[in-house]
Amino acid sequence: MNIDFISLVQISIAAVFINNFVLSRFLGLCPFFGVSKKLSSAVGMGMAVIFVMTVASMITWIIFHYLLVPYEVDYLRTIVFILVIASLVQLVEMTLQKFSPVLYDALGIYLPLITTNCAIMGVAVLNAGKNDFTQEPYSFIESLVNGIMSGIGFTLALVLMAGIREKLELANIPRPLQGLPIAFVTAGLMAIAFLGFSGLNFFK
Amino acid sequence: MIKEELKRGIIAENPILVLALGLCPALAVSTSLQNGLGMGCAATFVLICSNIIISLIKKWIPEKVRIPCYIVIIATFVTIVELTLKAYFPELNNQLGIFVPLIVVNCVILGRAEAFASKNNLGRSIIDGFVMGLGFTLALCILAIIREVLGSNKLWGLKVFPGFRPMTIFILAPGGFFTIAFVMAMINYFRQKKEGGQS
Amino acid sequence: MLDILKLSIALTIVAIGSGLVVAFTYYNTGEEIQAQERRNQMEALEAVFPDGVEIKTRSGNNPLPSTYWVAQTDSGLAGYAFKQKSKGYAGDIQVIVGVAPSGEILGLNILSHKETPGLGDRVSEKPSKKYIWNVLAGTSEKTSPWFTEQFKDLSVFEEIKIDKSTEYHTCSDEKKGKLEKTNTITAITGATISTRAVKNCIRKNVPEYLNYLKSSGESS
Repeated sequence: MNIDFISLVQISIAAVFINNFVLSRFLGLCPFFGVSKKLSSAVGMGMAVIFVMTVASMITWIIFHYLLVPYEVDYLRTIVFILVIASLVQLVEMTLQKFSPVLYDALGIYLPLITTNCAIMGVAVLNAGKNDFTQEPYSFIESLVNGIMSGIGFTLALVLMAGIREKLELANIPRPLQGLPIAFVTAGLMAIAFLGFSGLNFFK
Repeated sequence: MIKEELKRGIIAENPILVLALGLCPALAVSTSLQNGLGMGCAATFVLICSNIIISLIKKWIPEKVRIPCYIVIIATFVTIVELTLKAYFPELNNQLGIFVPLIVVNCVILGRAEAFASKNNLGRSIIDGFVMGLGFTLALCILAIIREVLGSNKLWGLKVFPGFRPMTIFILAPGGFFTIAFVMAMINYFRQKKEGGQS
Repeated sequence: MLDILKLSIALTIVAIGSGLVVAFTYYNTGEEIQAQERRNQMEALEAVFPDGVEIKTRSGNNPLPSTYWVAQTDSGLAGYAFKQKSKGYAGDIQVIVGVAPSGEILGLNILSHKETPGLGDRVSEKPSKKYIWNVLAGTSEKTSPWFTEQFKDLSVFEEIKIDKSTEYHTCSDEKKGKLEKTNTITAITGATISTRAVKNCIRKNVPEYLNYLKSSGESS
């Protein structure tokens, strides 16, 4: 198989920094604000998302390109993807419980939350579309890398946010801004910082 | 009763601004009023339809597989919306992009299916879907109006103030976060003032 | 065991029902979606040629692109159109460009881009002088994308220069004439990379295509 290494690096950098799922694509905001109060739970959630995203992008890619496209039923994409993701999360949960109790203890409570995390569905839909850089459909390896890296980007944003929010607890914030509003302001400032990555162009 | 329901959906339990559900589409598509309204209508349509079907067939669905069933029903209506947009509103479909298929994971819709439609009769489920959808759409429109006017000096694609230089950041990602933070803080401020006044 | 059967049957019925509904919708909208896509393609093409030409699709071999379009009038060949892409600020910018055999640009149309909203995405901006108050009062005017419009009548064979001092839609007619004479376009303020990317789309291969078409003696 012909693997275009440069395109993989491009996809990785874009997924983690330039088109960061949370801070520039607005995907996965519910867990981003819900689970970012404590650093430890943020790390757990992040790991669970990376794991599920990687598996989900592999499976949905295979289903899309070997089942939906050949039979010309790609309009069933949404239904099929969400079902695959929902059952995948269940399956992962059961497998972990049985074979790796340690990992299950660490990730278990976050897994049910992942089904409705639009970041997972988002990466599946994006992988079924076209690559931003080449305007070609994603290859299997590319979509796999996109899945892993998007998960890492999500985790990066989540962990940064949790670190900031732990410190924010100690700050004296005007009452109307307490809770979610100040978290949004923080996310906005982080998004400005990440805006600096757009226009990053290594391979001209 | 309708009035109370409306108040509940739009103010007391506004899905976006009070319950903080469905944030992803709310921030992603509120860059212009057209997009915000389009997304709001699409989500409301899915919400009402899925509420209708779920409240109709709730008796026949076994407890254990109810969530997958709800997801399939929601996904069906999302696909209908997707195909309709593609066929008759291609421009809006391009603007909303992947957030059309992502209506399926909008927590507002699954949340209402699980918390309301699966426990209530048809009439009440329709009303609930309608008021919640309206609350969602209105919140989206408020965010969209603020962002479009400040970010591109436009409303519905038309210029607003002569000589006003727009602040592009408001239609970029950070502006979305700032706008919703501001709107939520305003709501908190008035609520706290009211509560403070009462006690 | 009976329980599992019951669960599976319920889920299956729901899935079949939804499949039928979606298939029915697709059956009804599928044709319209395809027609829409064809119409978009056609509109994009018509926009890069003058009115009243007949457009034909051609397939080409190396060095020509696999598909290109030829426009003809009653008096002969009017021009060619090519799809081109170039790296912008964030992802590729895809354009379709219409050129006369002499190298003069007939029209330019941005097909897709991923540029920053408010900056680079102004490559396809329509300069609205229309204020919401005017529309409420009922007066309206037609607008067209200024950035792509300024490419018209420039030559692909010469280097297209970029003027960063003003934007085309604010220029006087005199200045516009001067820009055209010097084969110059104006840049979008704050989006030089996007501006250059669109220029590259045109300059990259189109001159070679034209030379090849001329040398291969294709005139019909």
